[in-house]
Amino acid sequence: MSNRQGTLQSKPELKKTAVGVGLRSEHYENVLEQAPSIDFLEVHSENFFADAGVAVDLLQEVSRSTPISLHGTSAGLGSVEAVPDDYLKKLKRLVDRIDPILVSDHLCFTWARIGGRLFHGGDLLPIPYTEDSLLHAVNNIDRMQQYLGRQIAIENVCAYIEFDQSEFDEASFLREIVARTRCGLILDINNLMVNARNGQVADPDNYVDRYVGSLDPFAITEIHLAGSTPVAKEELLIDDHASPVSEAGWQTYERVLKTIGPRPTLVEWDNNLPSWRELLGEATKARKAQRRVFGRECTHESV
Amino acid sequence: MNLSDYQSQFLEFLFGGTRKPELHNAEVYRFGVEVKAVRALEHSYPTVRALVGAAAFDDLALDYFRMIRKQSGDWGEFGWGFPSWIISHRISDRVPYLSDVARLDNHVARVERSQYEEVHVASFNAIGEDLASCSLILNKGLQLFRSMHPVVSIWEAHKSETPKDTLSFAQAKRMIAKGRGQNALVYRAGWKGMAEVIPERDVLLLEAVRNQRSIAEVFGEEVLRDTNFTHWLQDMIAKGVIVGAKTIH
Repeated sequence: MSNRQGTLQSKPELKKTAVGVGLRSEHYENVLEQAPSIDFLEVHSENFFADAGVAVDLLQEVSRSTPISLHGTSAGLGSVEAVPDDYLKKLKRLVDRIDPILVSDHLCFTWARIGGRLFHGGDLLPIPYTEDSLLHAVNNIDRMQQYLGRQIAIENVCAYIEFDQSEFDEASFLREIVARTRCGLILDINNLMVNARNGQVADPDNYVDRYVGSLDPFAITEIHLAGSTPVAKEELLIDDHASPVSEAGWQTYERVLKTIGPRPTLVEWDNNLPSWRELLGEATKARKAQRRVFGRECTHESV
Repeated sequence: MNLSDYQSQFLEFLFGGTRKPELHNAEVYRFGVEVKAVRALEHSYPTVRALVGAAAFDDLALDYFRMIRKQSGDWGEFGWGFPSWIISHRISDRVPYLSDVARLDNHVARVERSQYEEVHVASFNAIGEDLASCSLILNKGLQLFRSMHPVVSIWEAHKSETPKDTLSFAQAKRMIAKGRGQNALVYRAGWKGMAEVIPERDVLLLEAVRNQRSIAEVFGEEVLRDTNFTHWLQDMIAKGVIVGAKTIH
């Protein structure tokens, strides 16, 4: 556990009812043509790691008018291996360029050595929730927070495999990470629902409610919403972010809001992208859900 | 199994290893990562894909991914070694120019991601009477390369959806038949990477400029009176190839 946590700085926070969408390359032109009427935009950090070029220039331009949330997909904070310096260096450069409102990544592993050489798995790979995993996750999160000089947030992932040897349930594991690193949490509601479904949980609503209820609500800095797709006969749900948020997703979102109160909310859509307008429509649905839960006044609180 | 072994073995499995982890649904991850690997190479090597076709490209990309594996957290960096790797692949027997075409794709992609210097107009005031004491400045972001194949024409033709209908395709075909190659200058127009043929003489001149040789040494003492040089320099400045001048000692 770091003894320098007191030095971590966070940027001014978004209003708690802020709603954002993911910005992907297919929508760059839309955003350049007209500053989006959205509270914030989320991008995948690694897509902007280049020294220069169109993506970097565009993001710098957009960040002048719209707050940016940097969401990493590759740090692999649950890896036994330390996140490489080169990765941290590129992330720090991006953070300095963009001055994001949030820096986040996932609770998963990506790095490992094979025959002594370090490789990257290219996906959000699940970890067993053991003391050993906890130690490595805490070390990597601490290291990243110290390197960036700011708090980061960790997101719960979809796991399509189950481990026999887990010593914690996921929520307890996350709670322990927060206690030891003072990082924030991103609560991905779709990932929770996908895990409940794939794990054939008898009462998914109850599973989600218990999960959320056992997290430290003050640690939750953002909520993620997305769609998922069933595949094959077994109807395994895949968290592919390729469809709108399901009706069950919206209902769960409202229940979560009632439990933890308003939180900045992101609608993610990464594959089979809709038009920019349709995507903004999903953000409007999130605002409407907030209004149903909190009423009109609360959703107009100032930054 | 300890955590470190689990993580190593899982990655080996993702990279095509035959030993499957004793975990139900592990192949979901392998499938997902393979799709991403193919997509990343498609993005960086559009001409190679257009040349060999989508199905052959997918096979090629998966062979590369399984053999070389992924070493960086950024998919945008995945595949920088692809051009060299292709040389040893059986497909190069059939398409001997494929590696050089991949190299050109790679240069174009790199130039689009690199720091590209702006032209510093005022710096050209440094060009005074004594051409031996000043040099031109080459943009550090651009790329030059020589190929034994007509790579620029092939690259140009395959930007079209119907490559065979283009003049570049016809030219490439003629040059392949005669065993002639091209030199490529890769630069950026705005954010877009561009490639064009340049004569060997220009490659030599630009290499000399890159080596910071004086204007007198590279072009001769009387070059400022040569209108051809003035036009050449204007063209190079317009493309952002030459970005300034400086005095040297």
